[in-house]
Amino acid sequence: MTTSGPPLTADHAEAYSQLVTCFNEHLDEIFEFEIVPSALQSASAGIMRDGSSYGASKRFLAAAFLHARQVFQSSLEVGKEREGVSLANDASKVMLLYDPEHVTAANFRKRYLRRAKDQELFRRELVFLTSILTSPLHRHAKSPTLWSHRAWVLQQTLPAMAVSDVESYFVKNMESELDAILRAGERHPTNYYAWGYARKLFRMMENLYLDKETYHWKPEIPLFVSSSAQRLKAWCMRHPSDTSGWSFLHDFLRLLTNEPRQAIVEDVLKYAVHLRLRNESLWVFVRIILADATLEKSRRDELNQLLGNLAFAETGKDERSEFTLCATRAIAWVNANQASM
Amino acid sequence: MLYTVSGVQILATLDAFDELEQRVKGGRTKIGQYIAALQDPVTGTFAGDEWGEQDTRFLYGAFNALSLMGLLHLVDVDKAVRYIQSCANFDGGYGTSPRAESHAGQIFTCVGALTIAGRLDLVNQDKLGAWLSERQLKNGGLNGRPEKKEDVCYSWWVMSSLAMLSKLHWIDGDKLSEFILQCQDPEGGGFADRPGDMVDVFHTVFALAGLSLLNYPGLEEVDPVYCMPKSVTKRCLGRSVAGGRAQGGT
Repeated sequence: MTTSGPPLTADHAEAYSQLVTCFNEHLDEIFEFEIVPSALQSASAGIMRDGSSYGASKRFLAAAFLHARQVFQSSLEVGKEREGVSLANDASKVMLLYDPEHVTAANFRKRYLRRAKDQELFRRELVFLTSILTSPLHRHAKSPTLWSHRAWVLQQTLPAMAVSDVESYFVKNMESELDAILRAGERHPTNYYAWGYARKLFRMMENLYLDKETYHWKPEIPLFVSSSAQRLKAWCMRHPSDTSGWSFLHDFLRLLTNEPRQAIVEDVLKYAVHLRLRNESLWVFVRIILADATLEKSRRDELNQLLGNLAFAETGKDERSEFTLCATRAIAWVNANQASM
Repeated sequence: MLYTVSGVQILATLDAFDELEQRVKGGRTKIGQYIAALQDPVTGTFAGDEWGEQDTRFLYGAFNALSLMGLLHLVDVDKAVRYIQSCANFDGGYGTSPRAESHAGQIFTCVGALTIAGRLDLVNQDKLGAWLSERQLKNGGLNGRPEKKEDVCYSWWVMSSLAMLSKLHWIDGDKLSEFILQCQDPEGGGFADRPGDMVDVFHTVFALAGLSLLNYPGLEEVDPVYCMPKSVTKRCLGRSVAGGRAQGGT
């Protein structure tokens, strides 16, 4: 345990070296990293470890970062080519662990990956990104820099995944992308950039699916889409105050056919009514889906009717509970904004 | 893009473009060309840098900086405007790209860009105004999306958008002013995202800009399109900028 007095700093190079070792032990598997309060760390301890979960103090990370930055800057000097790139690769990871918005580090990694043209390195980049995006760190889960970096990596590697002859490779990768999004969405609620990435992911998948190529994974997609829809619906129901989750579900519904689309909306309505939920995010989802053109007009009319019946069966029209107000306001909004088709 | 836009705004505020030209021959044009090269010729939106991430923030940034430098003609404004139109959501709001989640910050960028282009007619103003007015919470503060906590910076993103739409009165200005003032650290003077939190420069800027829109006495009039003093933007643009203060605008 540290005692009061001048803060003891870890040796910068030692801290850096420990982190690099940690990363290199997990090139192909997701690890977890968290900041531990420095009171829990003795002066000599470096990284704490429990399986593939690691912890270090902010001070330790800062020391590692300062060293990493030096290594990074000097490694990019002319004449250090191969050795320099390897050093910058390690250093940039440490930099992003400390500062997820470090655009220079992220853009170096794009250059490095692009030059290497090695699909295995792209795959490992996704593993590294999943690790830091889903770890209990302060701001990584919602980092616009990390998510846009991931989108770039995905753009480079998804076409290659599409032509892999490993069984179910494409769908398995789509699943693990969705896993990462949901976990990051839990780490940081209303995670605008994680859910923005989700939109990009499925648009890319859709473009490949609609391609004239006869990719062998195409027959697996309908089941993947419908099971993803169920996962998303369940996630939203577990996080009814997460407006980003509901917003993505709304966008995702266009990938389904009419029957499952309507079924999901009906499930959500029944859920909202039976639990008498008042979450604004949930009701915003309900009012939009019952008014816009995602569902056909006839189906919207059916569901609007259903909502009215269910809501007032629960409470009676005169009850002025918060729940009734939510339902009434949503129905009024729907009536005022109903799309014509 | 973002750093470049900040640089241009600073130069504009300090009236330093002549000095830029002295130090960097053709400096203004070079900046303009850098920005213009980031426009996607197919979609009309803008990337943030060579790696291509597109976001309406960059589109707004481009319009902001180019218009301040009188170089908006370097880009395809009509195409960019059509792109923004494609980002209009059913709820009246806008996001980073088509069908993205509506977000007060992104709404500011889209409405700001349309204002610079003189195309506010393309906005569903009542619907958007309604969405924005729903951002006000019982404590008077504003959030940026449904069910989010109040944050003083949304006093800017939401209010400037309403100002551009001439709908400032759709928010309870007195309650909002009260909320913003509660965010100030009475000893240090800076503003935090909400009362009691740590202050920072970012939230201080937007608190003051919000108060200016609300006619708080003693503040320079802020330009809702640029988040800069109107005296500066008038000088740069050489004309009166659209959008007004709480008593009503042009």
